[in-house]
Amino acid sequence: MTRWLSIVGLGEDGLAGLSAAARARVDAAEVLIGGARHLALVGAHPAEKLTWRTPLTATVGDIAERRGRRVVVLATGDPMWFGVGVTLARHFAPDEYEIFPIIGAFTLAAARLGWPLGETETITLHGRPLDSLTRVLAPGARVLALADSGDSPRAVADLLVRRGFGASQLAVPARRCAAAPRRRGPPSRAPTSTPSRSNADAIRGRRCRACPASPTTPSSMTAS
Amino acid sequence: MPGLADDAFEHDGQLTKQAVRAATLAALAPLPAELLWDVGAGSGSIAIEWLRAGRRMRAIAIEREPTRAAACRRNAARLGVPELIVIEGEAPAAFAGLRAPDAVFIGAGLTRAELVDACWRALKPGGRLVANAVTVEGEAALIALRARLGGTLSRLSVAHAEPLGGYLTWRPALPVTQLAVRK
Repeated sequence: MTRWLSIVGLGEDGLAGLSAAARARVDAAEVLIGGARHLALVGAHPAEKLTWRTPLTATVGDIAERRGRRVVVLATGDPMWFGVGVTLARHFAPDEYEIFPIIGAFTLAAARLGWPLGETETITLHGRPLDSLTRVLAPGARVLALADSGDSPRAVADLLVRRGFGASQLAVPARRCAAAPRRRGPPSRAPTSTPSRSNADAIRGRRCRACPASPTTPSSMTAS
Repeated sequence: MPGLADDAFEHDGQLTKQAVRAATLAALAPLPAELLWDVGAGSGSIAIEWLRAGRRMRAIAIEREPTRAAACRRNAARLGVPELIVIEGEAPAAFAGLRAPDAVFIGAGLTRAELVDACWRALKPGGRLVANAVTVEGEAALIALRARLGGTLSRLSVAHAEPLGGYLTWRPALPVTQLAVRK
């Protein structure tokens, strides 16, 4: 079967950041599937447009019904790194789809922080319990966590304090920050159960770098 | 690496202690993405250490005591493995509908032959069954099981030095008899 399904990773710069091959798939699409923000990045296009449904398997069904047409899924960054490509690759045969990744959130965040990715834990909190972060906490650990929503930084800060890692530093690069991050206040407020005042103060560290995270946009979050 | 401190777990005394726990995990020999059943999970320490042994590990804890099942869930969350599935129910009835495991640990209920048989039947070919006993009756069950299934029977004795007067003496923990057998 020809590869009728294209899974295209997009960045904040939209179509401009795509390879020629990925761009050609989008241009020739008969069906475009993505979030409202990604569909908006494509702009005017004659293709049938579908947005994600819940559960995701409903959208998998939408795609399967269009098997053989030129279907393009608009994903984020590297679709195979905690992205929608992982789910779709489970439901479709390897000779049915092509995946076009661009640099993903983890790579961008590591570049901005100057962190070696090979020595950094990468996890996702998207749709998963926050407690899974505890696993990777260790003195001096570097963690890049894909967050669920704009509330995640505060929840992460609270968890760090609760688990005795209140002195950790958090950076919250929202929307994979194409632009330089803006500084703002602390991403967290100390919970009432703060083990000690100094921990709570430390988590509000002056070196904390943060820029606003949109509640609708996954952002990457880091702690060390 | 397995072998968290005992006080990392909330428990009511029913806890596989650190050194024996580490040895038990070694016998269970976790491989990436494998599924463990922790039967009679108590505080869930074996299942939790199993999950922490790798990124894509899976584990199901089966525990009939509601208070212990709740402690399993809290321990799993606090130790960073909230993906632990805790089934509150009586084995082997509670096994119904569960995916076949790559490894099974039996920490309680060894004297019930139907429970051990159900674990062995459920285990995937090539899977590992590890069972620990601290009672004479449990040990007798393991000796009989070894005669039937083969495997390695081990005795784990750990003593910790503790003060006696102005000196130290060895305080032995209860010895644990362990059977490890591959299907």
